Amino acid sequence: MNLRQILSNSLNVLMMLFGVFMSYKAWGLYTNCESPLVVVLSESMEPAFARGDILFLSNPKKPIDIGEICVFKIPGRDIPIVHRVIDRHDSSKADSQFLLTKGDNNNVDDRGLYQELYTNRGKMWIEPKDIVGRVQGFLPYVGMFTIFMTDYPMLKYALLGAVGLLVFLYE
Amino acid sequence: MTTEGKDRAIKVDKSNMLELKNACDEALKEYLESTAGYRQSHRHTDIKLLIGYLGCAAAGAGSYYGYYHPFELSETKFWTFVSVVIYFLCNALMTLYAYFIEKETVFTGSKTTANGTQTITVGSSVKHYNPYYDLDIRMDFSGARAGSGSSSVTKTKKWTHQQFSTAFRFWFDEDGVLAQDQFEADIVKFLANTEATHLE
Repeated sequence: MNLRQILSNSLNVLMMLFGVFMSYKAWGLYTNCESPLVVVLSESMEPAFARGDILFLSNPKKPIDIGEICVFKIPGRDIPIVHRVIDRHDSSKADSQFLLTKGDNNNVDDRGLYQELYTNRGKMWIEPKDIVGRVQGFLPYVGMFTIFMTDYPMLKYALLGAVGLLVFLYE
Repeated sequence: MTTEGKDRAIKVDKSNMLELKNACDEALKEYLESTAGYRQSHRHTDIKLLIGYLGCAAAGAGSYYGYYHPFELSETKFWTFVSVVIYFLCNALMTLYAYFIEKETVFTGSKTTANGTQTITVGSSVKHYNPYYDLDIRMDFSGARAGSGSSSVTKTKKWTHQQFSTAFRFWFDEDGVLAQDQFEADIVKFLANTEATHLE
């Protein structure tokens, strides 16, 4: 295998990977949402969404309405949460809303979650800037694949390695 | 999967048209480079590599930028958009190049002969459900040296173009092994035929 062949085969692999990644980015630009695809991790939205469902998100310009299901991140915490908006107050300042969320399957609203961190003491509402995206559609079960990958990281590396090797050798 | 090697026989799955074609292509390239003495021109591959890596570089740079800058800023969105566009543009360019310019070429090369430089462009194709290897040989001649004091005038064309179609069954045996000598003999015939048409 000379240099040209190695470069060619590597390019094929790279183009494939970047093809997927750039398509994802393009989708994110179209939906105005950083992460247009998320997996449901908890049962707090049952019976609507179960663990392992894939959600399609977007961020339209119109203000959020009550009843919309949002994926949001509480400032200071990494994990996104999928819950429904149950109350809202629109501020007189442009582009500002105060939202209260609650999981369909939970007994209490999310104020306890908002205030979990010391820095968030007294936080009673979240704002549109905390919202990652609003749910527009979903695909059931398919996300279990991602959950397996996260729970068993060895699977992830094994799969990646196998795919990369196969593609490189069979070109 | 073909097992290749100068000393080992090439064996393919004889019911797989793609493998048959690829085996012939590889043997053809091998012959043209070594025995026929052509120097292969890698222009098509190099151009595609250039365009491809350019696209990947743009994609990589865009990904890097997007990772370290928050998405909400309009600048991040702008540069992400730029990198996505450049990537898909390069992807499209590569495909268009292969479709319109490279087409079915498997080998292009040149060699210097007594009469100047001879450039050869060989394309191969197979039609669906038709077990024939369609060869398209084009030879370009340049820099012909005028013979000194030769009285007879031989009209030579600047280029010539011939097509040959051979059934795979003439070259592959029952086990799918390529008969090198049979194949090479036929290629020699085709090349000679094409060269001959040049001198008409």
